[in-house]
Amino acid sequence: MYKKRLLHLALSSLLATTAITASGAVDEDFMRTVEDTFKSADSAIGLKDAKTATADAKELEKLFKEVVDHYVKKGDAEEGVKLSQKSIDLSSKIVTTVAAKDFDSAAVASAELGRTCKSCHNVYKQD
Amino acid sequence: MTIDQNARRRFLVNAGYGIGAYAFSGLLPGGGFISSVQAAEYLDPLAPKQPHHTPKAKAVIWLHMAGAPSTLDLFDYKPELVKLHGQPLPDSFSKNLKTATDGGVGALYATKRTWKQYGESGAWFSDLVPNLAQHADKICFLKGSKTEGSTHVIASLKLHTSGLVPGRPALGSWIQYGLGTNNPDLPAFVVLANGKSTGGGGRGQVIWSSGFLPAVYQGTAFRQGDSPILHLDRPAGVSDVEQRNTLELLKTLNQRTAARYPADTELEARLRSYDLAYRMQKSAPEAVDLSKETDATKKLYGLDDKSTVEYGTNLLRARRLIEKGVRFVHVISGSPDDSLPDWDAHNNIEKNHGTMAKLVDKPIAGLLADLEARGLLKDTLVVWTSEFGRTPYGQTGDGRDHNPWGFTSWVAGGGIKAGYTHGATDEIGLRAASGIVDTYDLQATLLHQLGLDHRKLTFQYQGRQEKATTVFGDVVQEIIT
Repeated sequence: MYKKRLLHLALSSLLATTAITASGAVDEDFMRTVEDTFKSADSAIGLKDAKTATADAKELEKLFKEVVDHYVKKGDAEEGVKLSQKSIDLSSKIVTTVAAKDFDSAAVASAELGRTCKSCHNVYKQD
Repeated sequence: MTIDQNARRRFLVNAGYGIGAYAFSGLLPGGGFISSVQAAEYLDPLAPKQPHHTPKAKAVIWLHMAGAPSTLDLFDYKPELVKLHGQPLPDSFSKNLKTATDGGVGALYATKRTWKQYGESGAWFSDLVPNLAQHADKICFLKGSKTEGSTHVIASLKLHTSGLVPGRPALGSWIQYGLGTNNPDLPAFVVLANGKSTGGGGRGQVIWSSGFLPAVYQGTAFRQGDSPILHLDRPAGVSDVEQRNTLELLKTLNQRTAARYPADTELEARLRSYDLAYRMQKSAPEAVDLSKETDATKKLYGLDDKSTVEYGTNLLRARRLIEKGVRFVHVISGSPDDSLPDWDAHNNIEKNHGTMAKLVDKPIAGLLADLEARGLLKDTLVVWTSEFGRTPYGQTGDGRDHNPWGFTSWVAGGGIKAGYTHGATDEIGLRAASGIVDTYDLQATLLHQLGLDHRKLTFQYQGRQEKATTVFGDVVQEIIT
C-alpha cells in the first residue's frame, strides 16, 4: 500500500513537472530552437531538399502553435498572437509549396516568415 | 568501334563543358563550385565575378564607431527627454524590455548639447559634430536602427557578421566572395584602426574574419603610422628575379601540400598571400603613401591637427584604397589616448563624447567632401554605425548605458537617398518606433547596392546553405534612389 502511494506520488510529481515545463516552455532556449529549425528549413528550401524542408516546416508549425498558446496565456499580447498565427500559416505554406516542388514560392514564404519573426522581435524580444 | 570513338569524343566534349561550367559558375556570386576547395585548383577565388544585378555602388567605407556613441547626443534630438530630465523611466516606454543591461536604470538624462538644423533637409545635429553637419544633405539617417545583444562583443559580432557568436564571415568577406577583387595587387578587404583600444574597441579579429568562408576572403589589417604594411621593401641584396624564383619554389611546394590536403583553405590563403605580398611591393606603397596628397586635402581630413591626425590619416588612406579598387575598407575608431576606452561612455559622457566626436567629426566631413569632389561618392557607400546606441536614462550620474533597442546609423553615397531620414525612435529615444532597420537589413541593403542579392549569395557549410544575412535580412527599399 505504501509502495503504491509512493509510486502514485512520484507519477503525479512527474506529470506536474511536465505540465509546468510545457506551460512555461516559451523561453530563450525555446526561441533558439525555433530559429535554428527555421534556418534549417530555409537552407533546405535553397538546396531543394524537400524531405528536410518539409520536416522542419512541420516542426515549425508545432513550435509556433506553442508560441500562440504562450501569448494567449500571457494576455495583452494581441500582436504576439497575430504574428505567431501568421508564422503557422507561413510554415504551412512552406509544407504545401515544397510538396508541389515549388521551391521558389517556398523561398518567398520563408522570407516572409523571417520578416514576421523580426516584427515580433521588435515588440517582444527583450534584449 | 564507331560507337567507342563517339563515346570518347562525347567524353572529351562533356569534360570540356564541365570545366567550362566550373569556370562559368565561378563568375556567378554564390555559384556553389567556387566554394569548393577542388574548384580552387581551376579558379582564382578572388577573380572578379559578375553581380546578380546592376550595381549602384562599387565600394564601401565602413565607419565603425567602436564602443557605441550616444546618438541622442549627436543626431537624434529629443525635446521630450529634456522635459523629462531627472524623472524615472516611465513604464510605458520600457514595456517588454529588459532594461538593466550593464548597470542599473538611472533617471532620464537629457543631453547637454545645443542643437541646430542643417541643409535643405533640415536634419538635426548637435554641437559635437559641426563639420559633419555641413554635409547634412549628403546623408541618409537610419533613425530606427536596432540590434540585439547588449554586450559589445555580441552586438559587434552581429553588426559585422550577422551572428551572435564567432565563426561567421564579416560583411567585407561576403562581398569579396561575391564579387572577387577589383585590383589583384591589393587586398579587397582592408581594416584600418586607430588609437589605443582598437583591439578591444573593434572587438578583435573576429569582426573582420572570413568565418566559414575560405580564409582567402578575410580582412587584411593595416598598421597605424607611416608604414602601415611591414616589410614591403625587398631585402637588400636580393634581386627581383631571385625573389620571384624563391616564391615560385615555395608556391610549387605549397601546391603539392595543398593537393594532399584539399580541405585546408588556410594553405590556399597563404599561397595567395605570398603572391599578393609580392605584387603589393609595387602597388601598396603608392596606395598608402600620403606624401603626394596636397596640403589642402590633408587639412580637409584634419591631418594638421593632433586630435584628428590619426583618424584622418586612416580616412584619407581609405579614400586612396577605394580609388584603387579595394572593395571594403573597415575603419575602426579607437581612443586617441589612455584616458578613454573608446565611445563607451558609462560615465563622464561630456569628456568622452567631446574627445571622440572631435576625433571623427572633421575627418568624416573631409571624407564626404573629398569623395564628392572626386566624383567617388556616387558609387561609394559611406556607412557610419556602431554595435548599438546608448540609453536615454543615465548611469553613474553622468554616463549612459548600452541601448540595442533604438539608435541612429547613417549611410551616404552609393545610390542611397541623400538628405533623407528614415525611421525614428520613440519620444525619449529608447527604442526604434518606426522605419525599423535591423543590422541584417543594413547588410542586405548594402549588398543590394553592390549588385548582390543577399538571398542568393550563399555558401554551403556543414551541410547548410548559409546566407550573409541569415534568414532575417530585408533590403530597405525606402532609402534607395
